[in-house]
Amino acid sequence: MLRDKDRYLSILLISPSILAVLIFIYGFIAWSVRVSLSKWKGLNADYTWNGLTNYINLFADPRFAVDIRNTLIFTGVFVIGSILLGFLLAVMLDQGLRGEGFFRSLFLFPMAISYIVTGVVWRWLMNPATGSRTSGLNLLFSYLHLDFLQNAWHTTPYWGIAAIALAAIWQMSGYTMALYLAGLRSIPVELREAAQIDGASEFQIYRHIMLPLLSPVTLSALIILGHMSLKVFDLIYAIAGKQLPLDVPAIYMWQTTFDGLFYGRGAAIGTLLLISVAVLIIPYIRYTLKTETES
Amino acid sequence: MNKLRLNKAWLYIPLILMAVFYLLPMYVMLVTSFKSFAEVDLKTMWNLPSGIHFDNFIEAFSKLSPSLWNSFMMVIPATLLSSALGSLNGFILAKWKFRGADIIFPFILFGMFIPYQSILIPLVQFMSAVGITGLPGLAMAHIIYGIPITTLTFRNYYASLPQELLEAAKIDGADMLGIYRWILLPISIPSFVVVLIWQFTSAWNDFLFAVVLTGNTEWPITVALNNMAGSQIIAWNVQMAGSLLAALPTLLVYIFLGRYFLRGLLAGSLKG
Amino acid sequence: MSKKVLFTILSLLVIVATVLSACTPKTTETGSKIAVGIVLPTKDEPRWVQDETRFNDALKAAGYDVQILFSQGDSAKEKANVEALISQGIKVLIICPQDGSAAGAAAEAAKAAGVKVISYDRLIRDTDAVDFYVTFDSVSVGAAQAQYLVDHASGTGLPLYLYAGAASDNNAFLFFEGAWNVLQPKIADGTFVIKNSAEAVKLQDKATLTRDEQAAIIGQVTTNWDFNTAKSLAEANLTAAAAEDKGDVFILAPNDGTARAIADAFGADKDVTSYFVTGQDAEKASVQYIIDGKQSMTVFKDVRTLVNDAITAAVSFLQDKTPTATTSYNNGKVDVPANPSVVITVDKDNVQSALIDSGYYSAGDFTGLGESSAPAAPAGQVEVFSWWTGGGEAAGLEAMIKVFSAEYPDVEFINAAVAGGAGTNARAVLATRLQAGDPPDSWQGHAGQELIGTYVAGKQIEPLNDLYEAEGWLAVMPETLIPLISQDGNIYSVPVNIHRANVLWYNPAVLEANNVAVPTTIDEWIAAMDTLKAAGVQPLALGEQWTKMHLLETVLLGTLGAEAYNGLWDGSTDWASPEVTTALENYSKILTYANTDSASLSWQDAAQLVVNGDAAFNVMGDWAEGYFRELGKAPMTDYGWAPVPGSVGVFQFLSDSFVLAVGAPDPEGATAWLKIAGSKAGQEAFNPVKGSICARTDCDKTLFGEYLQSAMDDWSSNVVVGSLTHGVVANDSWKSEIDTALGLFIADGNVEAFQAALVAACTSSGPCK
Repeated sequence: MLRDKDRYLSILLISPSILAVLIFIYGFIAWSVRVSLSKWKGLNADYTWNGLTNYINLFADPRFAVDIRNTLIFTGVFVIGSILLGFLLAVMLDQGLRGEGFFRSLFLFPMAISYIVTGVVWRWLMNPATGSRTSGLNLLFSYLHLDFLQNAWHTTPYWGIAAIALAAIWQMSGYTMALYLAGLRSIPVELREAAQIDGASEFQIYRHIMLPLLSPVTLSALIILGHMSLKVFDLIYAIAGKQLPLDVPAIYMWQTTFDGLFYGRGAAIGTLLLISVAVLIIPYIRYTLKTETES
Repeated sequence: MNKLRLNKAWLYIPLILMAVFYLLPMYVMLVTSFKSFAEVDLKTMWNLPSGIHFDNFIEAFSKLSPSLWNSFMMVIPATLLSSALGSLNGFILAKWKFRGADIIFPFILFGMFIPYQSILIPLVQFMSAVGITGLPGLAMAHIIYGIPITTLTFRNYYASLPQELLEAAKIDGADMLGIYRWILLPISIPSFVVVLIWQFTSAWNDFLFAVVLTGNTEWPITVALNNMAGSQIIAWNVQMAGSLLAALPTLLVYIFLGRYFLRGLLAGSLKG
Repeated sequence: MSKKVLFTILSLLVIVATVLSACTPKTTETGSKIAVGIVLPTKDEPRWVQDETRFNDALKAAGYDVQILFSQGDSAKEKANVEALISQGIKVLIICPQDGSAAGAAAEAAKAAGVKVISYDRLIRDTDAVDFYVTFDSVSVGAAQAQYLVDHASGTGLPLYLYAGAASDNNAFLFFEGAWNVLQPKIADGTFVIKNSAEAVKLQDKATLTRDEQAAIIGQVTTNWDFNTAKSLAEANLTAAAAEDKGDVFILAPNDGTARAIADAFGADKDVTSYFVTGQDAEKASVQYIIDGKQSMTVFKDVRTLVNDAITAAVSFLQDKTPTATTSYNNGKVDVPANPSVVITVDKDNVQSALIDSGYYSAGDFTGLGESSAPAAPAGQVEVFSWWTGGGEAAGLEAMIKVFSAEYPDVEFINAAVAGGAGTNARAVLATRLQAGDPPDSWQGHAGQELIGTYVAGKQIEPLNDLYEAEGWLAVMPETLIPLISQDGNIYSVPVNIHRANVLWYNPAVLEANNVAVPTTIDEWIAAMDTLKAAGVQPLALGEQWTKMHLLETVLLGTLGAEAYNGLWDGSTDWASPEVTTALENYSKILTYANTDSASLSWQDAAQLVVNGDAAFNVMGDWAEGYFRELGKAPMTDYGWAPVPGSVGVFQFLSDSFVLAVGAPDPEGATAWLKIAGSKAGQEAFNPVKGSICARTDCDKTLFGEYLQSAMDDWSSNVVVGSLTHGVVANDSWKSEIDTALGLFIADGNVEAFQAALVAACTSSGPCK
């Protein structure tokens, strides 16, 4: 059991963070939930009670249906893609190759550039024009005689959003790599060496020793990428502008709040995002915490 | 361990392929940033510029430089403080659990998912009500909204460390802060690196909080970068030059922090 | 790709940064060397000695070393001075020539040594070795004088007396030209009646005079720049004039000396009940006259401004940039670029701030100062929020701020502009600030429902009727515009510019090659696009979603006609009517001619397809013209324009305007800003640079290019309707509902569902009940 002095100290040390989170996150969430239950439309705050009307309208809104579908596809492709790519890159860089630092910085670099500009570059790269106006990656593919790779990218019906996830993977997988690399490097060398002595192959070491130890890191990566994918906004906007086939809740929320001044509806979208996260993430975190304590 | 074994040389093939993938968009940015306005055309996006002209960079730099200092003033404290807070929180929540710690953690973590766009109004109202405005207010917002992600990262690193490490120290009579200072801190350098990278990048690149929390003399570089574009005609050549310049400090941070990934540093500290 | 290449790319970036930081003045490496050399005419006149100090202080402050030499009235010494400076390694030479023609050789020597030459106050003639000219613009002096008269005129048939300088002096012609440009429309429309020049009466319907015509008038009203001549001419005019030609009179006097002479004469005439008289130079005696109410105004050319503008130009050259030029002056050999320094109109209201507080004169030089009943000039600051941050918009705003700062030197202008684009919406920032109770003093908004439906409805902006009254704007703003910025008889904003939305841009060569005429109706347009499509040409270039809404509004207009289109927005046209169905079917059909990659193109990319010959047509607002010019394309050869088919004779407009915040922290400064935004000087400074036309109807046409001149003609003659996409006809909520409906339509192509959604949008957020 903890000694008393240390217990009070630990609570004392964490309490400023808890207080800040209470005000800046939960206080504001409460405000936002309250707005979502109001009739607020226009510049002036209007807290007239409106019940669940904003929510009910959203579920009947065809645009919101598109948003949910797009978010699911985007999150799936982006999270899985970034984790796989990030992990692979981390494992490769963990081999102690020469030039590791260079590759590491290179893979991280996209993250340093503002979304607004990378978005435009990707819009150019993924230009779907055909014939004499072919450009971007499609043009590159034809230079390389890889014409079969040419496609309509983000203008592909239904799956277009996955092309945007590709750009997001490009931007964020470097960070997943860094997370995994840090995880790999904090695993004591002795563990690995012991396994080598026992005759385990490199693959076996990663599969049976490293991967289980890295599961908390995977959890971090999952949550960080997940929260980004729900909030992704600037990137989609910069690649595709505001257009319905590639709409996501964050764009709808922004547009309806600040362009349309439907504050009530905007807050309802924000609240729904939070609820969906709560439903998906909280049980998973509880489960992870529980298995951690058991082991 | 650190010696390059010959049979690993094949790894360069996938690495270089990946490097090409990462460099393609950067190549486009770079060549565009050297082009003249009339040269910027979808059809010729792969072409090299007609010459090496630094005009775009000079123009971008003259527009960005006044706000460079503001960015540093705000980003450095925001990055360091939120990383320190996250590390402490993570340590307490992973290795020094008090009753309720497993409830507090998801409670902090959940804050990460709050859509920032929807809380701009109460944020501005609250900050002006308590009188913390301008760059300090902006730094504070980054610190507070950074707590969930930094806490998460550190907690999960510390959770992956074997409990035996701590038990040994406890038996030696170390108290909580002692264990944190002498056992955990030295081996959390890689986690500090990823957290610092994250915090530096997100605070440096943040636009939304900056533009609502600071006035025009305190605007950081992202607002200046954004303002290089007008509402109608956008000179992408200058815009890209500006973005590359604005990304340089972040890149330098990556390169500088990256060396702390080296296993040698870590191995030494583990044994000590 | 080898690592070396990658390293090279990254290190290149680092080098770029290093090079750039070396380019900034503070870290300049010219250290021991002299960067700027200045040659002034003589040390014997106080003006140049004062300039010496000003140049020294200002350049030192900017971090450059400077050496200043005097020519002492000797052109040979001048040349020797220049050579001495060249040998010191100067990069920029600022020279006020002793003799404009003789200084050519010195300038050429400088040019040969790679030195940039700035001609200061006097133009070096007959050489191509001059890079920039810093001067006051004589034409604008005359214009400022005339503007003052126009601003104080109310009613019609007001007696006007014209006086000019000497017929032997070229400047006298330039002053007169500037005055005539401003006065002539007001004479033609009957506001003024010329009383003292038969020649001028004869020419009063001519907007632009030839040199000979000017000479004829000047010959009749010349003062020879002489006090006594002016006085006796004025007395002679008064003797000849009947009593009914006197009363409240308006007098154009060319400078301060003649103004005082003429004022004395008019003041002594018993039939003259009041008079306005102009002047120039801010001579001490005239300043006293202004304080005493005997002279109305003077045009103040502050030489300190000239020094600052010369230094700005020099610094630009040192940073390897080209100084901003708004015009050019022919020196006999080349057109020398220039950005004329701003002149200041001084009258009783601002004599304290403009001349005394600015340190030009001291208060002790005058009597009766401060007893003036006029309100004190505003001081403090003004924060103005806009989304003009880049390109021509930002440059235009800067030009207008320059006018503001010249007029209100004590008001600090805080430019809180935030760019609009890419998810970082300026309007969200504004909305947040308004919610948090921290409004800027004034902000930009699209004239029309965007303002009325949002800010007026939210009680965030003040009515401006008093300001309109005081500034006489009702007479100069178009009648069609006022109702759009009003609610319940209150006017809420000051429009600065006008853009046209219904423009069809086309590639003349592509049309010609396919024997297609420019279409004027929707059916002709569709037929033309069929022909083009069959010939393998991309008929229509289109971009991302908002450009599709822009196209939609023009097709609605083109199909329904102006009246029914207007009816859509006030509820008198039924959104469910078969006419709207036809319009939407037309729209649906027109979309089939568009490029398939429209979703991935910005409006710029789409417009570029037309000038590059990759597509025949594009529908976009007339800011596209500014873009084409920046691409170096020529009007009528690389691109042509016409109203969108079906909307010939209709001008679908949008306008940027500024408002006064309720609870503005600096209401005085805000009002001062609005005065400039609505003034002729402000709009003439802003619009040619921004690439739009003035909201005022009295701007000088010659300041504008070919396209904009045609837009000005259309604006004054066409039926005017408002734009949807750009905030004129629908409030924000309605517009965003239409946008959503359009997005769904683009995805599914169902016209019926689209129309139903539009009907629903009108019911939920528009006037339909």
